[in-house]
Amino acid sequence: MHPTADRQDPAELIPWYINGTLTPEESAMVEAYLAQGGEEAAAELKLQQLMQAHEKAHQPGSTPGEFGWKRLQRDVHRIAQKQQTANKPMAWLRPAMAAAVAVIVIQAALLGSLWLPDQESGLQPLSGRVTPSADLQIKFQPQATELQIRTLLNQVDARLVDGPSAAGIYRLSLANNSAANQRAVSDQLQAAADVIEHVAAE
Amino acid sequence: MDSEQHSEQALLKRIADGDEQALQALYESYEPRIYRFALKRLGNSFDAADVLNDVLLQVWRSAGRFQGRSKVSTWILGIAHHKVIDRLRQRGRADFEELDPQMANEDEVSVVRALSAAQELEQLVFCMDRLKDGHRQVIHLAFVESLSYPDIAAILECPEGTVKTRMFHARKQIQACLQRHFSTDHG
Repeated sequence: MHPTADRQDPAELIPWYINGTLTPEESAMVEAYLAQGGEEAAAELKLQQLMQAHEKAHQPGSTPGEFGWKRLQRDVHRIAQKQQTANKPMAWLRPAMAAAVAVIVIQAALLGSLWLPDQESGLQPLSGRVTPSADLQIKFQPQATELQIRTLLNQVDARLVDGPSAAGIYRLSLANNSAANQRAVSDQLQAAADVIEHVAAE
Repeated sequence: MDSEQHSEQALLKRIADGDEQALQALYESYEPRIYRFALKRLGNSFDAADVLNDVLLQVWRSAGRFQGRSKVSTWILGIAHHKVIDRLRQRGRADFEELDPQMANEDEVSVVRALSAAQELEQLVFCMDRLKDGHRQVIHLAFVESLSYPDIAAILECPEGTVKTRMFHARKQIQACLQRHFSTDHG
């Protein structure tokens, strides 16, 4: 029966007894095996010593040496060059970004000119001017995000109907504008201190 | 940790910082070992030189990721092992794993008679050259690199028991070969 891997067989450890890497306990186990194993065990040791001698003697005499180093060095430099190229900002990037910003500014200016307050003031419904009805005035925290604002307004079922004023105040209209709901929403908005800086009734 | 391990780890840290001189020092230390390891398996000096280059390039790129959980030599020869397997796969070789299933009647061979035949070096060479890759690799790592079986298991990423079993069967196959081909008494 062949020795199995799940138990320590001294015969299997002989190669590492020969190369001197066994623990003292393992070495002692092998020595006991060799002492008790007679001619067969001695032959196992000797055969593996011959295998070791053969293996060591038949190693290639020449290795790549200096040529191998030069090749490695060349490849290392190539990697470094590639990395430098990858990290270097592209020469065309800066003017391209400037042009893109210019386009955005021009577009914003054009759009702004199409929606002037003067134009709006000249338009009136046939039924007369409609003044937006507002229930609360609020001021947002400067760091509040659009997502936070949208989420909060949806929660309280409110919409922005005016603003911002010069002081940054917006006017809110509530879907349910009962006095009780106005107080409840006001409390809810004040509690959202990370989004709302100030709340007041109209 | 012994002083050699300590100095090799320091070398790797310098390599991770982009120190080319440290890489050269590591190259000089490991070049023969990696090259011989690859040549033993690939049998072709050009492929072995390619593996040597690939291994040290990988060391250059990933030295910063070495965490010191294993010896530096185990880590580097483990990389070499993977590069060799990649190259064998490119060649379409499928026989780079596990033992030869045709190892019949090893137990019937007398080691004493095999030893007698092994005294003739050419006969031992003949039989060792006929071992499968997996067996030759373990013999190389144990007898040329003088590595412990746990280190060999770490390099080859296999259980320690597999390393011992491969070595055991390699010896048995050599015995069988010596007796079959060279023993005067084939008993």
